[in-house]
Amino acid sequence: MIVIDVKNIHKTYQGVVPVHAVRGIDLTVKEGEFAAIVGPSGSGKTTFLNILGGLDTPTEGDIVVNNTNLSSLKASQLIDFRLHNIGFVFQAYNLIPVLTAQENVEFIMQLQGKSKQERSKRSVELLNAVGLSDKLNVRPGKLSGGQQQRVAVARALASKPKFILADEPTANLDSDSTSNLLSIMERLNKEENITFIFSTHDQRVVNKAHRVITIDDGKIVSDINNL
Amino acid sequence: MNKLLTIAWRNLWRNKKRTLLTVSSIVFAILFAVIMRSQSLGMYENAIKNIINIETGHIQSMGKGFNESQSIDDAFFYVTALFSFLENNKAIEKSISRLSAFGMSSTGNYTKETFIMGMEVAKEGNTFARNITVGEMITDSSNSVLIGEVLAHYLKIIEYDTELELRLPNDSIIKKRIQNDTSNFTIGQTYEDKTIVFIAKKPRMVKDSIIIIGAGYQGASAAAIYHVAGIMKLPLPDMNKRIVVMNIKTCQDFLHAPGIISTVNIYLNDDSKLEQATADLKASVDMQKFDIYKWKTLKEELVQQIDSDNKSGLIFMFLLYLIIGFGILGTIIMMTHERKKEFAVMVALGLKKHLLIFTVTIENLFIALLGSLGGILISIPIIFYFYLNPIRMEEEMAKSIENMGWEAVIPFSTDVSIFVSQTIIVLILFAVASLYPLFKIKNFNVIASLRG
Repeated sequence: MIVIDVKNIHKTYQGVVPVHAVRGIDLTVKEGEFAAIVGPSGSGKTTFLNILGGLDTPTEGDIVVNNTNLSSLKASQLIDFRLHNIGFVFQAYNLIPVLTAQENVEFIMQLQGKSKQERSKRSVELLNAVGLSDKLNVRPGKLSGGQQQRVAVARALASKPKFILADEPTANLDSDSTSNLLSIMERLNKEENITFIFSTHDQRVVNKAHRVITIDDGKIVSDINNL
Repeated sequence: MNKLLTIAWRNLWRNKKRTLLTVSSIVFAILFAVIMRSQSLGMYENAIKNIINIETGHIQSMGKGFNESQSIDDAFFYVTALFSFLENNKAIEKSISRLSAFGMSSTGNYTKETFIMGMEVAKEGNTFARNITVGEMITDSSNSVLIGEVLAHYLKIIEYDTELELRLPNDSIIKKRIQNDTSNFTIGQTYEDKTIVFIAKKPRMVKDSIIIIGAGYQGASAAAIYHVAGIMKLPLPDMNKRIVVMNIKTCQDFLHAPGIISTVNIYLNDDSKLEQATADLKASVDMQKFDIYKWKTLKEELVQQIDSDNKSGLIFMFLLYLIIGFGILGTIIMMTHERKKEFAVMVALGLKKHLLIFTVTIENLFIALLGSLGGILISIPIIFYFYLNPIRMEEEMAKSIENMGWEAVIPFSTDVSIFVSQTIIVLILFAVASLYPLFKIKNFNVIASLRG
């Protein structure tokens, strides 16, 4: 089943000198893929990822996620779409600092209008799945970087999204935390068929990816099956 | 919604110092504003109360033309229709007849222009009695008079002694009165090996009679000698310079005006009924024979003084709030910029902007309410302390206030509207300052903000 269908998207930033960040990308991502997007700095991969996540809009072309054309949605509809369809993991974790680990995970479900019982049950399950069952009531400030990123993964999964976008998820982690996080994501991908797309510079992450898409100068220059 | 409230509340305590600083600025703004307003309104209320109680009543009824001529010939006889209205109107607490005239008073070689006032002593109640500094109150049957303290001093009826409160080595306090003292004592100075802790000037009567001369009713001449029963220090400094008070019967006899009264002071049980009661009174009496005035009309100068002082006070408060307002705005701008990335993350995750705006607004509201509550809680005991213990001005400050015709005392007002209005002003300031984050959130670019 196709989760993402990108058709000839372009993104140009207008300015004194227009910057063509994305120059005609076509891409299809199927359910359950574990894909890495790589490329040098300034290659356009972050812009592309933002467009995939509905945070930015293409200048040209269409992006269809789960049969919805994101180009046709208004800003407020896009927010709602992200809430129900896309999970985000950021490089700097970006947990809500005043909420505990469990509250951070529950927050998304609360926005979705899930019942207290359901929120509580699923947040405990997810934090258990990322190995943080003993940190439910701890706030992000008291967690290590690796632990915060695992909470971020649990939060991304909380809304039962169609796919998870992870932007350089291991950039701020040491090697132990990186391998720990990767095995968790790999397990969730394998056991629960969750689609992961991540941008990375980290070779360890690239090695674990089932598919490696290389972007340079705003275009896909290679798309390799890494299995 | 609950979680958003939790986030808003916990956000307050993320940066405790900043929150406490912002809350403190509001607390002090409210504290200063409430104190300033309370003492201004207290002074106005006191000045108005003094004028109404001693001079005009809420409404004054008088013979046609008396206000302009101030001549006893324009005074009037007791009129049943007027008094029947006064007895039956529920808005009226009491009405008191007075007879007043101008004359001269004299003792020995000293003579001074005098305002002679005859009053119904029993009906006046405590209004004059509580201001007696030496001697005793007159009665409706006595032929004695009361004299204003400044006039009495001019006529050499009184002299001033110095009363010192001295602290003994065992910390107990004794009082020492020094007659006709001319030395300048200061607090802290040693007197007879004891420390002076308080200095007061106390009048002492040295004469007990006064001659009063004036023009009586319809050209009769009026002159008599009266026993001085007491000296008053009224809270109306102008009055103290010239007033002589006697009972109305004695005054009528003095002026050869039996049964004549010049004014009827009407006191209302509720200030807010002034307009209605005045209109009712005008409608019920023959306006060809009477003039009816509200105190505001009779004392336009006081109303203008209050208005002008009030406006300067409000300008000062506006400046105070402007400074505080910019402080609050600065804090909110800083907070918004610091958390731009956090806001962007929340929106990226799926929090609608209006809910984010709600969270930030609630957060700001919490700060405003904490500050307002703190300001009010701190100001209440201070205001009540100064309400019960008004500040009495001394020396030059007292003179300058008395020159304006006001009592040299600052009684604080406890009017609830002071607290309410200051809180509303702070909430409005916060609402205005809160527009900044709302505008920023509404228009911010998620991608740019995520980059930090």
